[in-house]
Amino acid sequence: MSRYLWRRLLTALVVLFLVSVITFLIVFVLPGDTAAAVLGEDGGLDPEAYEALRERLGLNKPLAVRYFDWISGVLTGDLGVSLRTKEEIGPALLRRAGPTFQLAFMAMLIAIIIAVPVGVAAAVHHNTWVDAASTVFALGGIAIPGFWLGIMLILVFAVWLRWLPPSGYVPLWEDPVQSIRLMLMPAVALATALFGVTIRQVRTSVLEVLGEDYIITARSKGITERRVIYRHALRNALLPVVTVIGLQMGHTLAGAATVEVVFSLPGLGRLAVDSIFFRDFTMLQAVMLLFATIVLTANLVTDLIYARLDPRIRYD
Amino acid sequence: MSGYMVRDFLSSPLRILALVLVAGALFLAIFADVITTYSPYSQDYDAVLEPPSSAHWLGTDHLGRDLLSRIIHGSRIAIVVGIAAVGFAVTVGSLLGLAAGYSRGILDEAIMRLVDAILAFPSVLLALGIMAALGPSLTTIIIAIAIGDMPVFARLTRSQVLSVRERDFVVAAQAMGARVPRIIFSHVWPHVTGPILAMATLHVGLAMLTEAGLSFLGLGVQPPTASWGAILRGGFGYIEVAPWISFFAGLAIFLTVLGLSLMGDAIRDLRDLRTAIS
Repeated sequence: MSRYLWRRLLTALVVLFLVSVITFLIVFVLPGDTAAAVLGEDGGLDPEAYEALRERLGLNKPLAVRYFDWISGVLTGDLGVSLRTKEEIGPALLRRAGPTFQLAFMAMLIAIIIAVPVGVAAAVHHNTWVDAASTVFALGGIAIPGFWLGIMLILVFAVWLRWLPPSGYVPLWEDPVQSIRLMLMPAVALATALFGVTIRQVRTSVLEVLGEDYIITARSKGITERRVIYRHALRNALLPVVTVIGLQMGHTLAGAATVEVVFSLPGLGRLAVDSIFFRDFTMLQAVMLLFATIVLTANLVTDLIYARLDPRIRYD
Repeated sequence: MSGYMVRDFLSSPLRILALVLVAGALFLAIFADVITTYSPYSQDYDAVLEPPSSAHWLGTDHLGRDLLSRIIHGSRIAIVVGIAAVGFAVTVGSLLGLAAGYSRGILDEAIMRLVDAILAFPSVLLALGIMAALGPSLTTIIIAIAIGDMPVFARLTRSQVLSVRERDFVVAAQAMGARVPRIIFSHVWPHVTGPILAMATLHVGLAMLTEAGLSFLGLGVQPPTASWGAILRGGFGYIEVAPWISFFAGLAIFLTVLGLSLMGDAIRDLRDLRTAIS
């Protein structure tokens, strides 16, 4: 275990380094001069102020030095200031993280609640119409654009039926009921892409497990089929399912950007979109780095849990 | 494909559905100019935000443009972006995967870590960053989506190569002194194409979803070009008075991507069948 752990951690660090370089380079090649963008709003360009600002932002230094300055700041917790609002980036990210995490968590929960029974049904009745229907349902979940489903949900449940508020955000700790009501439609919209893949995974792994000897033993003991499936099969089939959900963190965050825009949620995805519109490059850089770090951490944790739970996994 | 395989392919209602949806989208894209009676750009201020009628089957948008015509022309953007982006991603990705899987060692390690790093970025966010860096245009959308998609094909190709390279016919070719490019392209590559084709079909659909998302955010295909995402963006502001705009544009995306996902599934099953027979 420990050898695998170290190797896995080292790989993650290498990848994280490459991620930071990619983030830095993307923002570096952005069109437009950062210093000009900052000064632009105050009117005409004063050559002296322009040079002074370039000096202050470190834009005159070589690329490698600028990367080093930036990354050493990031590592010591100094993400710099937003070019647009002039506020500290670290606290701004923290404030925006709440809505995105609540959204992602609720979406994953909804995806699991839908995917497990549907996937089990598909496996138990495989090669029947139940299986075919679950395939269409799963692929439909992948194919439906989350932001479109979100708009349609607003139309039906907020505009026509008036059951739910159309958009907005209240922190969970201020008003839990209203917070969940507001987050329900966005979470469903985001969940579709997740349950699609998860249904397929549940189906595949339950099918695999159903062929194992201990299932035959369980059946021969004469216990109910329901008990065979939910107590014996599902328990062992869930490990790959956990992995699939963990590895979909990236998809979840990608979908969050458009869904947050549709429902006016003040989350990280919308922050990324806004920072492109307002040419807030320092903020964009920080959000991209944060998202990639979250995805890498989720993958790492998933891998480690998997290795811990399944003693067959040994890498050397 | 033999007659037997065609019959077998059409034996499942899901595959027929896949074929109908994909062929339908292709047909509309190719014959868009012939089918539509209105130009997707001509504005009619006497027919603004009209609901579906016999004159405008799917209604009109806020500039009085015919929605059916815009959606049919939008299929061109979706298909061009989907196929070009995935074509690019498959070419670069599979070459990297072949190199990584065949060489192993340090080159393998370097390529795969780079692939991991690109995969760490959520697709839309990476595309947003690249689009911001290169400026919005159809070409940049294609490049941005292709870069994000490339790792999937690199990983897939590499895993296939790793499983094929130890098999007897490859070892035999090596023993007979065949050179590396020959081994890769005439012995290894044919075993890699099937899984890639299935995956690529699904990813054409996923690329369409990303394009629609980017255009919906206003960072993809720019107005007045008729793209499904851009139509949705325009319709979102009129959701209460003209819900049909959003509904039909999204439905077009949904049906096309569903068709491609079902098609990808069918191709995968077919490959399984063929290996099962041989």
